[in-house]
Formats: sequence, C-alpha cells, structure tokens
Amino acid sequence: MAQQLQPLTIAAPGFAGINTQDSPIGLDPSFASIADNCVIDQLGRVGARKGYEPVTTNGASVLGTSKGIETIFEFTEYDGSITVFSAGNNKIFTGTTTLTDVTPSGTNITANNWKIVSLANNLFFYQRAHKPLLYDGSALTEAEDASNASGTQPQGNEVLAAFGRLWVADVTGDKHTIYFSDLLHGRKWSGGSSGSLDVTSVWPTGYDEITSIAAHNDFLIIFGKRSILVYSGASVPANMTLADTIAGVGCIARDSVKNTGVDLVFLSEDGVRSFQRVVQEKSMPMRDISKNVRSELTSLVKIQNSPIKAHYSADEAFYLLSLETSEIVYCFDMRSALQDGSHRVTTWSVINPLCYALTANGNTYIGKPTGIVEYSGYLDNAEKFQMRYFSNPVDFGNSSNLKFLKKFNLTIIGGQNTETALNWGYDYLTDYSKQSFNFGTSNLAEYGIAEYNEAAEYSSSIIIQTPKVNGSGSGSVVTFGIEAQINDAAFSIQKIDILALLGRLI
Amino acid sequence: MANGFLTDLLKAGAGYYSSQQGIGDALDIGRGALGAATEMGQTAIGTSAFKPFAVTTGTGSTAVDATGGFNLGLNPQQLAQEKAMQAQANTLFGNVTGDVSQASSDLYGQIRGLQMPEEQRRQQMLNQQLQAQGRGGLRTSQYGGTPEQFALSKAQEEAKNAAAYQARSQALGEQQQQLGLGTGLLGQSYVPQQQQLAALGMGGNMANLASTGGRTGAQLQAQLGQSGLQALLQAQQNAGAMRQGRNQDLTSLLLGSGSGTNAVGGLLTGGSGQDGSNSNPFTNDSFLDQLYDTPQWLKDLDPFGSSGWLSGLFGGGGE
Repeated sequence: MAQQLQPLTIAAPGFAGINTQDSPIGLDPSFASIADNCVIDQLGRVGARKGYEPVTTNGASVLGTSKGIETIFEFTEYDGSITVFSAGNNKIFTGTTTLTDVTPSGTNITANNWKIVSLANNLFFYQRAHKPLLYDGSALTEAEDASNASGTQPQGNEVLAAFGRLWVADVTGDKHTIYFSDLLHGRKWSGGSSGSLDVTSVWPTGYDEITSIAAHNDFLIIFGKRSILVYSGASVPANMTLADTIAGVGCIARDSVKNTGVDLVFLSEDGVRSFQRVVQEKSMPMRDISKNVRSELTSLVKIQNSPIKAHYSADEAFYLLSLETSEIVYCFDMRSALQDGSHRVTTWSVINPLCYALTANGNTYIGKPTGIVEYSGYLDNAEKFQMRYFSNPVDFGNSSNLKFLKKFNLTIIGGQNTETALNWGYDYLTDYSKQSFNFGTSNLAEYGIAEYNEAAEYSSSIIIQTPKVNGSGSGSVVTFGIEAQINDAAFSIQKIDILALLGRLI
Repeated sequence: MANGFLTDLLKAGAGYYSSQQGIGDALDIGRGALGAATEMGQTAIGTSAFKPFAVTTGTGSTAVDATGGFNLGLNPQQLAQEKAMQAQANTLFGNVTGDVSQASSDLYGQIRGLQMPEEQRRQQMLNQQLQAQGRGGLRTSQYGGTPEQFALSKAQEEAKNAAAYQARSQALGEQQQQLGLGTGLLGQSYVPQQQQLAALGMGGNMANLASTGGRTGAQLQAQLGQSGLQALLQAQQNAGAMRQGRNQDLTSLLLGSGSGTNAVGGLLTGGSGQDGSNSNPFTNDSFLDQLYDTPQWLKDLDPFGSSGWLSGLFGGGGE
C-alpha cells in the first residue's frame, strides 16, 4: 500500500536570515545558508533587494579610470537649499546628474576617503593627512584659509559634528588625541572653548588607537580598535567626564559607525555590534548583531584593503556593510532583533558600492565607478541581477528517515517576467537538481491608471505566483533553494510547501 | 717889673719837678701793685692746680693725667667682650645692608618647602581624580588643562605670590630685627666704657671734694691779697698826693704864690716890706729886675700867667 505524502510547510523560508554559524542539522528552517541579493522585506520575507539606477550622466568624463565616486554627502543649508558633494578621482564634485569639479585650486588631494560633516551652516571635509576643506555656502576652500580660522587645523581621519563643535581624531602620528574646535566654529582650533583630550592613559586595555568617534544618548563615544570610552558632559568639553569604559570591543572601521536613532551600530573585530546593547550588557557575555555570520564576516573583514563603508536607511530598515575588496555587502535588517539579539542578515553581491549617502527624502545614493546611482527599482543599471536563496540542510524533524521529495508548491510574491530556478539536493551535497520556470507577465493594477475590466488586465494589487514543481531523488536531509533573475519586479518568497514521502529508516 | 720872667721860670721849674715826682710816684705804685697781683696769682695757681687721680673698677682702671686727659683702660676681658660684640653687631649690620632679594628668595624657598607637600598631595588627588574621570589628557584653551587643574594651579600660584610677599616682608622684618639686634649689641658693647665713665665721674666728684679746699683757699687768698693790694694802692695814692702838696707848698714858699693882686711873694721873689717897699730884686725894678725883666713875648708865653699853660697847674696867672 502506497504511503501518504507528508506535507512539509516552510512558511517564510529564511526570514531569520543567513546563519552560517550553527550546525545545519536541526537548524530552524527559517534560517538560510545563502540569501544573496536579498533583503528581509517589510513582511518578514526573504525578497530581492532593489537595484540601482544611474543618476550621473558625465561620470566617465570626470572620473576617468579612477575607482569612481568614493564619498557622497548631501548638504542642506539653513535656507533649505541642498547641494550634493561627492569625491572621486582625487577631486570633489557638486551635483548629482552632472558632476561639477569644485576642487579648491592648489589643494593637493591624493585620496577620496573623505568624511564630511555639517556644522553651523558650514561643511567640513576631513581625511587622513589632508588639509581640511570647508564649504561655507559659496566656495570650497582649505579651512585654514577661511576667514576667522585660527590654530592648527588637525588633519584627522575622523571628524564628528556634535555638541555644537567639531571633534577630530586619528591624526597621523597622534592616534590617541581628540581635538575639539571652538563652539560653533569648526575652523577655530585655538582660543575660545577649543582644546584636546589625550586618552592615552584612559584605555582600559592599555594602549589603543582612536578609530572613530560618535555622539549617542548625550554621550561622546570614543572608539578604539579594541576598547570604547564613553564620556558624559561633552556639551562642555572642559567638564566632560569618563562615564564608562568597555574593554575587548572596539571599532575597526571609521565609516561603519551609524546611528540608528536608538542604537549605535559599528564594526568590531568580531563582527557588527550594537553599542546600546554593549552598554546594557557590559557585564554579560557579548552578543553581536552579526552573530549568525560572524566567522564568515570577520574572515572577510581581515582581507579588506579598501575602506569599509556602511549605510543605515530608516526607510529601508537596513544597515549595510560593504566589503569592497570582497565585493560583498552584508545587509542587516534593523526592524527587530532575533531572540538571541542578532539581526537578520542577507548579502548583496554584484552591486559593489563604493560609498553611500542618505538623502533628505530618504533615498540612498550609492557611489559607483560611473558616478552616483540611486538605490531604486529592481534592475542594476537596467540589467537583471540574480537573487539566490538556499536553505540550510533540514531533516524536518526526522533525521533517521529517507525523504523523497515529490512536489514543491511555491508561493512567490511578485516576480513578473522573472526566470526562476528551484534547486534541491540531499545530504549536504551541492550538486542540486534544478527545475527552472518563468513567471509570466503580469501588471499590477495601479490606482488611477488602469481601469477595472477595461484596457488593463484585471489583477489584484499584488502579484502572487504559485508555481508547482515535481521533485526527485531522496536523502535524509534536504537542501533547497531558489535562484531568480530579478527583472524589474519585486520577488519575495512567501512559502514553500513540500510534499514528501518518508522512506525507511537508515 | 723885676718879678717877671725869672719868677715864672722858677715857678715852671718847680712845677715841673713837682709833677715829675708825682708821676714817678704813681708809676711806682702801679708797678708795686702789678708785682703784688702777680705774686698773688702765682700763689693762687699753685694753690688751685688740678691734681691727677685714678679710678679703678671691675671693668678697668682709668687714670686722669695732669692735663685732664684720661685713658679708660678697660681690662682685657672687657675689651675682648667689647670687640666680640662689636664684631657680632657688624655681622648683623652686614645682613641689614645685604641683598634683600636673596634673603627673600631663601625664605620663599623655605615657605614653599612647607607648602609643597600639601600641594603635592592635592595635585596627586587631582591627578587621580582626573585619571579616574578620563580627563588627565584634557587640554582647553579656556583653562589650559581642566577647570580643576586651573583652579589648583591658580591656588598654587596665589600661594606662591603670598609666599613671595610673605618672604619679602619677613626678610625686611628680619633685617629690621637684625638692625635692632646689631644696635643693641653695639650699645651693649659700650656698656663697660659707660660704666667706667660713670665710675670716672664718681671718682671725679670725689677728687673734686679734695681740690675744693685748695681752690677755696686760693680764692680767699686772692680776695684777701686783692683787698690788701687795694689798701696799699690807696695808701700810696694818698702818700703821693701828700708829697705833691708838700712840694707845692715848698714852691710857694720859695717863689710865692698867686698872681695879680693876689700874688704873694716868696722867699726868693721878695715882697712888700713894712713900709710897703718891694724887696724882691726881680720885681723891684732894679737892675736885675730889669735885666731879667720878662720880655713881652715871654710874658705872652707865661705858663703861670692868668692865661698861660702852667697857670692852671700852679693855680696862678696874671702879671
């Protein structure tokens, strides 16, 4: 007598993101082994990331053979006027569609790893071993040449605009001193309330080097590579006091520090961490945001020879960490944390951002070799890109029986004109069986554009694809995945139902 | 008349002689008085002459010589003590006139030496506090370092200023004190001399008692000699006057006296006889009278005449 097929339902597969740390056996099927070019969408599903659309039209002429745009900053002046500054090819540009070279004449620029901050309607550019630049609303000049400039302008690699002044650190030859400017005068480094703080003897781990500084929760946070100093009262620097020290955790990438409003996220030697959690749990075992990809992430971080960039978008609810050398971006979902405190993580490939910038309207600009592009749409510069989701090996709670996968019933949200391939394999092998299919064209009804039952095809507000694929083969543990060529349409995996036949005990 | 020229001549000669005798007597009286006074002075000097004496005390022996000079003659111990005290006073005076800046600097160092341990304790406490607060490396344009460091440094500098002021005041005070001590020592060094001088004064008083009798005797002797001398002078004056009168009487007897109608003829110049005749050969108009009749020009020179120069002397005059 034939056995009845067992329905094995995996709702929102991979919604917990990638987990490469735990043993695959018995792992929750909500984790994925691969979730490339994916995000966790607003409904908690694994879906395709957005693509990018070119903004700049003259990138080739102004960027030449350089890496491209490596720094972007949108400056909003007091009068509301907005100017986007970008840096590449050892030049500084304004504009987005057309990049206009505004590099100060006579200024020798040999790198594009600027950090740009705004203070008192002025814009300040800092990077290692370079004279600080200042944009006062009319022209970009060297800060020391600006009117009312005083003192020695520290040529630091890190700058922070907080508490009404500039804070500069990581000066060549002096990686343990923070310099702070006069109040509301980012160009005045002597007199007034300017000064410096040497933290050489403050590090809890002995010697350390300042890599980044941040302001959070009315604290001045000083990141070393392996320790963190927390100062209170920084609004009056002369009276600021050490409030806390954290040993063993530091920041290794200046641009990885991002404030999410309630949290401060940064990249440490052992992964991405949340400062708020660190503060709350300083006496407890460390938990980190990137716990589920820790080994993979830290091994990649170590081989980076280009600046690590990060980006936080409240609209997209993700924290991006791009490893340029490895051409991979880790995308952490910031909506909520998992039970163990980690955040759901996916990866992006192909896109290879050089830098990011968040605009006032919530858009994300990305620096590319061609210029500035915008994170938008579902094509990479009008080209399809591949989204990949693969589960970890799962035994569906019964590791001692063979499983004969007979049928896959997929529920995909979106995915119009998307070439998709379903992969499955057994017993940890990666020679997957594949079954490809192509979703048909379907137009979403758009309010005010198409009319019901007239010219446009009737459809619902969302496209739901429910392909059915016959399976084959058998094994004790099963790995399955979906590869989709994202073609200008969203693509989210809602559910995978597997009809399997349980075989003999092995 | 016969009694003209010759009579006058005799009268003049007699008068001159008598005057010369009077002058000689007066000079003899003066000389005698001078000699007596000199002799009495010499006697008084000898009687009242200063007699040297000596005073001896525990601090020394002082001898006053005949001229009144003296040497205090402190004993060697007192002299040594005097010199030692004066040397000490000189040392103190040297400090008084020394460089007050150096003294102030030395005192400042001592005061700061007292203050610095507490300052170091406060500095260490502040350093620990700043280190615990992670503020040891804080440098500000407003305060140089932290406000607490500024406050401590300010307090230290104020303490230094106060110490400097205190040191200078104390240095000046000590100079004043050394001046007082030096002055005192110098004064004390002269105490033996003062004591010896006081003793000399007492000795002088005692010696004065001894010499007072001699001086009084000499004074009495001088007074008595002066009285005797005055009496002698008075007696000799009287004797001279009497001799002068006697000579005048003898002249008048021989040569007459008076003139004119009051003229009285002397033994040698005649006079009216009983009969009223004139027996004076020089006035009875005899040959001798005529021979020696006084020429008119001589009459005009008649010193004994009423207007002649001897008339006053001899009380006569006239024809």
